[in-house]
Parts: sequence; structure tokens; C-alpha cells
Amino acid sequence: MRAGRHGADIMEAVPHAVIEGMIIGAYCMGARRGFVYIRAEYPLAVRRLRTALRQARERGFLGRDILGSSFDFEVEVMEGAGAFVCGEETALMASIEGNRGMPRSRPPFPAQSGLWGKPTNINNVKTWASVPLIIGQGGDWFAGIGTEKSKGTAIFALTGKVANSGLVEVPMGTTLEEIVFGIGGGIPGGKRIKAVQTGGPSGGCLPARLLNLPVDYETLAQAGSIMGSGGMVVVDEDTCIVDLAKYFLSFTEKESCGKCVPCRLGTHQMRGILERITRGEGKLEDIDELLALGETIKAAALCALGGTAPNPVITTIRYFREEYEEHIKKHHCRAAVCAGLVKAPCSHTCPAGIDVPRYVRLASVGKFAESLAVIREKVPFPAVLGRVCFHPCESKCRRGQVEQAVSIMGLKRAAATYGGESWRAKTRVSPPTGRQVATIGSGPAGLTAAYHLAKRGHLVTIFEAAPEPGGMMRLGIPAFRLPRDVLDQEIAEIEALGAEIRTNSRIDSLQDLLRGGYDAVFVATGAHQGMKMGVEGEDSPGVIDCVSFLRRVNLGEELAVGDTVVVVGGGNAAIDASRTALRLGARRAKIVYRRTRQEMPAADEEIDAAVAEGVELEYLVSPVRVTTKDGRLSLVLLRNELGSVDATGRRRSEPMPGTEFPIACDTLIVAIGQQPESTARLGLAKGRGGTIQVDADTLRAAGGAVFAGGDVVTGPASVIEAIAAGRQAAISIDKYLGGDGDIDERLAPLEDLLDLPPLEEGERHRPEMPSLAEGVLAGFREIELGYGADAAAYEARRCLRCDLETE
Amino acid sequence: MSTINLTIDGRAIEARQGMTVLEAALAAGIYIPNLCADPDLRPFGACRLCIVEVEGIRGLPASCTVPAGDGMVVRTDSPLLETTRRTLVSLLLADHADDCLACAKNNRCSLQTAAAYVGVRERRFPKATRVLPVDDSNPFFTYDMNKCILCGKCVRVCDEVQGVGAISFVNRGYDTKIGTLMDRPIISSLCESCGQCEAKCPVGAITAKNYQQPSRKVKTVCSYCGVGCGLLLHVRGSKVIAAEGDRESPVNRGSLCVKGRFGYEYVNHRDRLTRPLIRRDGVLQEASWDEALELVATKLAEHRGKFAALASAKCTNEDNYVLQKFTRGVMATNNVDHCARI
Repeated sequence: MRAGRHGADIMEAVPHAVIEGMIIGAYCMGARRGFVYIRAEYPLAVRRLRTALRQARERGFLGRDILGSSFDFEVEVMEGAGAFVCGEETALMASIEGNRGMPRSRPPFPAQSGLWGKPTNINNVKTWASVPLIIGQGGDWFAGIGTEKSKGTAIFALTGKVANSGLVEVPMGTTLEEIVFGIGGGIPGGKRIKAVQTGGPSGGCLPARLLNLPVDYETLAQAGSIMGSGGMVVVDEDTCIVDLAKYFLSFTEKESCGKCVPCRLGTHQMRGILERITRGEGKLEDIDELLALGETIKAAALCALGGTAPNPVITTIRYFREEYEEHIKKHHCRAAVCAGLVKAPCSHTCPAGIDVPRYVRLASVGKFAESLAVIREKVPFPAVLGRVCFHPCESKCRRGQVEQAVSIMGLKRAAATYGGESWRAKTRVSPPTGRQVATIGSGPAGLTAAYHLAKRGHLVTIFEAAPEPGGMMRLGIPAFRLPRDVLDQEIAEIEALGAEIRTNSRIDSLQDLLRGGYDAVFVATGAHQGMKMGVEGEDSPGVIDCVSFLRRVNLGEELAVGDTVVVVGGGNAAIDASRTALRLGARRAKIVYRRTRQEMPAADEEIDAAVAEGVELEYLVSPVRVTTKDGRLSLVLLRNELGSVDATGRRRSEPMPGTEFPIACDTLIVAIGQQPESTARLGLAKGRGGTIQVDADTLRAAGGAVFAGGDVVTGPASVIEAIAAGRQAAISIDKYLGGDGDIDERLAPLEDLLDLPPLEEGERHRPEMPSLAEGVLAGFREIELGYGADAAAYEARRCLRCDLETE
Repeated sequence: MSTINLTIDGRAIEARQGMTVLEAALAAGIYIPNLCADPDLRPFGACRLCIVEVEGIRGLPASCTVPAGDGMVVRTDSPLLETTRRTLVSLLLADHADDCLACAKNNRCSLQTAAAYVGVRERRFPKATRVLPVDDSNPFFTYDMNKCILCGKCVRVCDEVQGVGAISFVNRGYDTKIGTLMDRPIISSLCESCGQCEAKCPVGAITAKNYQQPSRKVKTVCSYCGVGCGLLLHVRGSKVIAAEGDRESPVNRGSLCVKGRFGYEYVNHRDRLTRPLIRRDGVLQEASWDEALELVATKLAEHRGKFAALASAKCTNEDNYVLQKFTRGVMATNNVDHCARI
């Protein structure tokens, strides 16, 4: 009998149950000696078991002629040194015999020739402890727990990124979700679940979308994992999957007994490959080599340790291959974990690769001009981003683990506000190349591409269908978040470089452009078409999709929305629409969302701001139909409950029948998503949801001279992602036109790191963002006012300078 | 002993009950690559090169640990077995110092044979960068862990055959190596320097010092003691350069002790007597065999009845019998004794 962690817990709690089970088993089998093999690291279990054994002997339950039955049985405790492999039964026996814990081949099986060559039966602590219960309550009772093939209960050591960790006992067949969310209380810190590793270090890693899997032997095996030692590690979005696989494999590599070649050397080579991938030295072939090695180890290893050791690698490749490829191809670790790739989590997470630590550090000493220059090295919209970026950088900021993340966005705004114009002096503009590029769309993607292409000496024309440039920055984002003069000024910088913007110019044929003298075209038309709910009455007057609503308001139309406005959706657009509605005179604005605030895609601070302005939120409701009566709309909703987790790691909403209720409104805004308008006229390969298909690395669409990027390729995303696409398009197009694609520049000198003020290590909170105090809802004045220069410098000194970490 | 019938690669094979599949195959002239199997040692199953496919058995069992069974159907060669073996050999080669041409085991190395058989043609895994210490402390042989494949033959022969247990596997995982108690030099361990480990080592990890390949081998019996171990003396020109235990000798079945294996140098020693010497005028002088025997016979005759014989346990029983018979019958005395009379 063997005891790992949960076995130790059983022995600490009910040692007599274990002893009783062993006595019954021994009586049935005719065994005279029993052993409990337990790691010496569990002294409490050892002590309690020894006490229980002494008590059992005193009562005559152990020893000679037990209770006059002429049956003799004695139990000894063997303390092991904690080798993982000693959980393997033949290694366990070798260890009890006093030999090195190394497995041997079977046959002979322990039942034929076990300890010292004697027939031996080996079972887990939990199994033995179950015997008295089964004898007492009957086999049918036990078989009634669990599934058809996996009977009884499973015990898991639930740990990792989960609110309640500890030992969990559930009937076989319970879903992972019930364990992680029901018992474990879900993921703390508003993070998303990414995967669950079951079965300990040699188990498999199952993605969030498989959380509805019932936990039993067969199902786990099918999914590539095992029940194993009963470990269950929950990981969230901040865990790098390659790093995770490396971690588990390092463990099995070290715990391999060293006997057989595949386990001893195969795990070593696999770990080496994973090390290289996490250092950015991986090759794409490495993934196939990992799989090939993994299969060889599984097939050829002597015991189950080797036979399962590759599981974490094989399953993470099976379910998270793209993360491996990102590490290899882009040297990108989306969790910002791999030290060899990640200089600082913030800059690594920034889609445009802005050197965040550097500009923050410059801001911390009040050098806003240099700080702005650093931002400008990568993006042409510091002031815009300083106000509306969804700042993924802050979600990975290490300071966030102390109190709050550094306000990286707020510092960008400060740099843009106080940085002046000295950055422009160092801007590099190449001599004219005589090449012409057409950019379709003047959103962040198109304008960024135009900015960089113009600096590379190409003649750029930007065609914009709308009457004003800026794309979603103008048509989507309300002025109270992004004042128009701020946007206009940054667009003017791009025009100043010679890029010409033609508004009200819709392009219907790429061929016409190419024939008309353009050498390359960048399609960045965005995603401007609102999605429909697909419910009855959706086309009634007074129902409007969010994109159209915001577009019309943002182009200056004075829409009458009536008294009560309801917005369906949970994204930033829904928040913007509700806040806009209040400014248009609505007395009530209410957002209805099918899940809860935790799952809402909208940024937390945006939700807070909306709530502060009086926007109401109704969670866990789904629209069923829209009716109209006497000119008023009525939206019928159905209440939801949270169900299983979907592919994005968020819990699904599941409607509860019979919970319908109506809410009345004058305007109903549908903000459940948007997609690109039909681009069929452009004749490009179509992707999912009306998008254009391009080569992921170069953004080149079929057709040589045509490139595409931004929302029209990815579906609705963010300003910073569109800017990143614009940068990539500029690089690819410059190369296509004969340039070297080098669009980076150094606008600020590298700092003298020896001059840095000391690190602020103590607790230090983020200063509050000053905001408009009065007249918030009267018009579209900007709400957030930005940090003052001193506050910004103070905030910047909260940076922990991850990029300077030397280890 | 009963025989069983099994099929290996489509051929009907007869094997003795109790043989492993590997033994049955090798006996039938079918090579299955193997590194850790040894007819003198218990099955171990570490190198996994001898994996086969057996109908009715899951996975790829190691043929060295699977008992041959009547009616068993075995495949020693399939695409899966080939790629698996090639991977295993590649893994071993990545961690093996490659100086084959300069290695003492060159041309008699099981790893070379296996690599040649499975056809490893290129370096698949990066060469290991670690350098393990070489234990040169024993006067007769050298331990070089940089060439060790951890087949465990040395450990097992020391334990199972010699009953000494001077060496064992130490550490775990990739750091596993062969070592002594507290990892001290081999000379400071329980080691009796019998060299059985060196004889069993299939690669260049344990090699006799100054080993040279012989031009011929001469079958003989060890002259050190009364056990009568069979020897194959390795001879180069007219010089004995090594001794090997004779596996065909029923006395030692290939085993040797330190003297038999490494104590051969006296054969070539310049102090060794090759002609009889007679002391004349206080000085030992060369003599003919006839002169010498004549002198011994004369002296023995002079001492009849005033004589004692001291025999040795290291002589054969036959020699000792003859000595006591001679002493009693010819020398007319019962004064016979023996050094091992405890």
C-alpha cells in the first residue's frame, strides 16, 4: 500500500479505516504481513498511523490469532525518501526491500512474485480506506457512486489559480467545471481560466473548452490526460503554456529513476528543446520532434513514469500549438512569462512593442519630451492611445501584484501632453522612392501604415469612405473619451509627412487603383457593420445597431433617443453607447448583458465610469423579442444562469425557461458585436465573419501587391492592435517596394541607467485620475483630465523596472 | 528440459523453457539489438533496444524480460520498432563521448553494433555538454562515465555474480551514474578489482588500462590457485597482454578474480625463473633440468624419514593428494601439513 499527499491526508484523518481495510483484505487473501509505504515528509501521518497501529494491536485487531480467528496479520510502516518513482509498484517493492527504488519489468506481476519473491497485493490508501465502507454499506451502494465504468469517488489536490484550493473528493464523472468553479470557486483576480492539468506532473493539460469533461478514467485518457496521482492544477491566462510544460517535464526528468534510456535521456532532450523554445531559440521542427520523442518515450519506457512523462508536452501541443508557434516564430510569450523572451511584461504584451519601461522611466524623472519620443519610436498616436488604449500591458504589469498596475496609459497621455514637439527633429524621412501606395481606410491601421510608408519615402494616398478621417477613433469612440482636436492633431502630423487623405472616397476596385499607378494597396477598412440579435421585432423603428448609432452621433447628428435607452451587449461599445445616450438627453440608460460583470469584455474603468454617470446594468439576461406598443418599445428578456466555460475561458450564459420579463424603452441599441462590411467587391479571399484572409506574418493578401490589416482582417479588435497591423503592413509593403522594411527609429537617446533614482519598493498606490467635476453629462466634454506633470512622475516611479532585472 | 515452439519474424523457432524471447532469438541466430542483456545476469530491461512486438501483449515489451512462451508470435522488426530504436540509439549517442577510433572498446562495442544495425546516420540531438569525471584510481581499469550507457551490467555482475556490491546507480534522472558508496574513488570502495565490471562493460566506460587487441587467444587454466579457472590468454606476438575468463570453462564460466585477470604480467617478468638454478659455492647458477632433478632426488633420498611436507590450498586436490602419498609412501613420514589448517 502506498501513500502520497491525499493518502497522507486519509491516514492523518482516519488511520483506523486504512488498517481495517488492510486487515479485511489480508484475511481474504491469506496475507500475513502488510506494509504501509509513506513518504517521510508526512510525519504527522506516520505518527498517527503508528498510534493507530499500536491501538489496534492493544485491542487484538493485529498480531497473532486475531480475535480468536487463528488468523495472524501484522502491519509495518515503511518510510520512503520521497522519490516520485516509488509510487510505481515494482519500485515501491524494491524500496521496501532496501534496494534502490527502480522499477522492473512485469511479468512477473507482484501477485505472482512481489516483495522478497512472495505474492503481493498493492493498493492505494484510499482503496483500503474504502473497504470497510463498502463491506458495511454493500457493493451496490459503492457502485451507485460514479459512472458506468469508473466507480466511486476521485480525490484531487486542487491548486493553482483557483479561489479555494485543497483536497476535493467528488463522485467519478463530476465535470472539471464543477470542481474548478463549483468547489474551487473559480479563478481569482478576474482572470480567465486557460487550462487544467490533471494527474500530477505526468498528467495532461486540458484546455478551458474541455472543462465540461466528466472526470473519470476513460474520458481523461481520451483527452490525453490521466487521473494519476490526483493532482489538479488550474492555470489562468498569466501562465505560459510552454513554460508550464517545461516545468512539469523538468520534474519528471529529475524524478526519472535513470534506469531506462527513453525516460532518462528522452525527457532530458525534450526539456532541452523546451528550454530553447522558451529562450527564443526554437525551430518549428522542434514541435514535431517533441511529439516524436514523446511518443517514443511513451512506447518504449520501462514503467508508467516514463510512459506518462511526455503527457504535459503532448497535450499542450495538442491544445495550445499556437502558443508554441508564437514562441518560435515571433519570440512572443502571450503570458509574458518566459524570461528569455520577455524583457519586460508590459512592452512584451504591447502589440506595437512600445518600449514601455523606457518611457515610464523617463517620465519618472520628468523627461516627458524624451518619454514621448520613445513612444513615437513605435506609434504615431500617443495622445489617442493615452486616452483609449485597452492597455493589455497593464494586465501583465508586475506592480499589479503589489497594489495596482502602473498606469501605463495615463503616463502615455502625460508624455503626449507635456512632451512638446522636440521628437520631430530626430524623425528620419527617407528620400522619395517614386513609389505610390494606396491605403484604403483612415483608421488606426491605415494611418499608421501611411505614416511609416511616407517616412520611408513612398507617396501615400489614403482613401476614406466617411466624410472625416480617423476610422473607429472618430466614428466609434465618443468625444468625451477622445476629444476631436487631439485626434485631429495626430492625424495632421501624418498629413504633414506628405500623406494625402481623400475623404468621401469609397474604393470599389483594387484593380483600378493598381492600374491607376499605385504600386501597392493596403486594405484597412475596419469592421463597421453591427451584428444582429436574430430576434423577432429587431427591425422595429427605434431599434438601432450600436455602430450606426455611434457613427451618426459622432458625425454630428443630433439623434433623439427618448427618455429611456436600453443597450444590449457587454463590450466597450455598449458602454460608449449608453454614456452617449445619457448625453443625448436620455434620463435612463440601461445595459443588459447575458453574463455577469466578471465576464464583460468592457474595460473595468469604463464600466465604473458608466455606473458613475448613472448607467444601470442588468446582468444574466438575454433578449428574446422586441415588441412595439403605442410608439414605445418593449424588450422581452430571459434570465440566464452561468453554465459551462467556453473556448475563451468565460462561462456561457444559459437561459432559464419561464423567466421572461419585459422592459420598456424608447430606443434600443444593439451592441452585440460588429464585423467588416462586405468586401466582396474587392475580390479578396474571405475569412471568418466577413474578414479578409491574409498571410499572418506579412499581412499579404492574395494578389501580390495587396495587403490587408486591422479589424477587416481580425474582426473587431483594438486601436493598438490596428496600429500594430499598420506597422506590419508598412514593413511588408516597404520590402515589397524594394526597401529593407526597417521602420524603427531611435528618437530619444538611451538613458544613463546609473543616474536612476532608487526604486520605490514600498507600498505606493496609483494616484487617482483627475476627472471633470461638473457638467459631465452636458455635452461631450472630455471626462478624464490626465495626470499633472508631478503626479505623472510620481506614478512613473511606481514602475518596478522589470527590464533591468539582471537575473 | 522441455522445449517450446514460437514464431519469430515468421520463422518457427524452438527454444528451451525458461529462455527469454531475446535468448530464443539469439540462439536461433536472429539478432535483436541489445545493450543491457547478458546471459550471466538477471533480466534488467533498461536499454529498451530489444523491444519487440508480441501478439497479445500491449505496447513494445523488451524481449530480454519477456519469457518465451509456447505459441508466441514475435516480430523483431517493424517501422515502429525501427524508428523507436533509432531514437533510443540517437539519445544514447547524444550523451556518449564520440572518440570511437581512439576507444579501447573500438570494434567490440555493443553501442557501435546497435548504432550500425539501426542505422543512425546523423546527429539528431545536440551533443551533451557536460563532462563527467574520470575515475583513474584503480591500477587495472578506468571508469569513464562520459561513455557510460547505464546498462547496469557492471553493477549487476558485482552484486549478482561477485557478491561484492562495490558499485551501484547513484543520483536520479539525467544525473544518474555508476558510483560507489558516498561517491568515493573506486579504489577506496569495497571493490576487489576483479575486473568483472570491465569484462561486462559493453562500451568504453570501463576499460582495462593499456588495453591492446590480441593477435591470438590461448586457452589455458589459471595457475594461481586450485580452483582451476579457465583462461583465454590474449597474446600479441609472443607476449601475454591480457587475460579473459573462459565462458566455456565449467569451473568459472567466464568469471575471474583480480589475479587471474590482471596478474599475468609475471609471465613476461624479467625476474621470472625460466631455467633451474643450483647454488654452487654460495651462488645460484643455471643448470640443466637433468642436473636439477638429479640433485633433488639425491637430497630427498638423504632425508627419508627426516622430512616434513607443507601443502597449499592453492594447489589442486590432485597435486595435494600426490604430495601426501609421496610423503607417506616414499619419504616414510606422516609429517604432512597444510597452510589453510585453521
